[in-house]
Amino acid sequence: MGKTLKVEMTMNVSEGRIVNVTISGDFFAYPSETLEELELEIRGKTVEEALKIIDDYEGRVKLVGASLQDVKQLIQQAGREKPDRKSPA
Amino acid sequence: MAWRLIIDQGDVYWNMALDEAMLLLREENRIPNTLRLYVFDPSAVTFGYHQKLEDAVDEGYLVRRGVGFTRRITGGGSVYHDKLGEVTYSVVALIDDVSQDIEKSYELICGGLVYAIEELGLEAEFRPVNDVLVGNKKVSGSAQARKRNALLQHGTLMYDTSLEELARCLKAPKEKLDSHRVRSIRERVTTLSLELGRKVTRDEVMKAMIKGFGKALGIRDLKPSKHSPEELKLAQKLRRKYMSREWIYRR
Repeated sequence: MGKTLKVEMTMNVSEGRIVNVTISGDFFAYPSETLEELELEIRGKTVEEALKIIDDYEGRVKLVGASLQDVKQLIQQAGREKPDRKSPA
Repeated sequence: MAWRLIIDQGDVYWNMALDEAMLLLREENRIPNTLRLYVFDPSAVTFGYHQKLEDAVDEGYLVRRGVGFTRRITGGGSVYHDKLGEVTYSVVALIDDVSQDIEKSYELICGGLVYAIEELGLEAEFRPVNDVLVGNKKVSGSAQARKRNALLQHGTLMYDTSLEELARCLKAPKEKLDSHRVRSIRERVTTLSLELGRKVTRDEVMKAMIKGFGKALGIRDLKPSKHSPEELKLAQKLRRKYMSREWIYRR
């Protein structure tokens, strides 16, 4: 059955940098901790830099039920979201 | 090669601690390959390593009802472990004794559940990555973790789970349900008792699982056994992690 993958990202809009990112869902990652290393590594980076870093993780981590390509797509999407959007209270 | 068979029960923190202890000790070659069959007493909820608690379970309901819950070291989704309606299995083995290929190893181990269900007189089907279905509804989900040369795969087999309670405890993301074209968790899961039209007992399910995993994993020698003192000691230590807010709420 289909797996879910969710990327939540906080950006510093004026600097265009990622403040925080959380990758969550009911997929599998081998080894599982590597995804957290990835989350930490893309903090403080621009979206473009983050996408390159994620490419470097191909071969370091295997996702099952989702893919690093999916993660990249969601980060790109999140990066394009309008900054003036009110966060749900 | 000889495998251990361990049948036991415990609370949710203890059960998860023991599974992790077995993985760590298998990796260090301190224990043999093991098939563990166990029950959650009291009934409880586990959810996947990468899940956000709020996306996986109805925390308010669990707290109000005093249902224990913790995060697993394995990925995958949330599970309701019904004391009176579900048997959980763990397979702890060297990866080479199962398969290096992750998808294949899921299929191989889940094959034990398919055989077990067939033994009980139903047709079952493995649905990649990690589900076993009867009549297109889920009766089992599994999750695997690997540590160097060892693996732990654990999973549930629902023989008489209260699906009403399951639906109250767990949350399924709306997108996921939409993709299955069903409106509720209740419509995509079933139990062996419902499918067979009679009450299946824990005892017969366990017997069928022992036979099924034996066949799927080519186990010739399955010895009833107990956890070693070293295992129990390590589990005792790990249990604290599974009870900690830091672990449960980490995302």
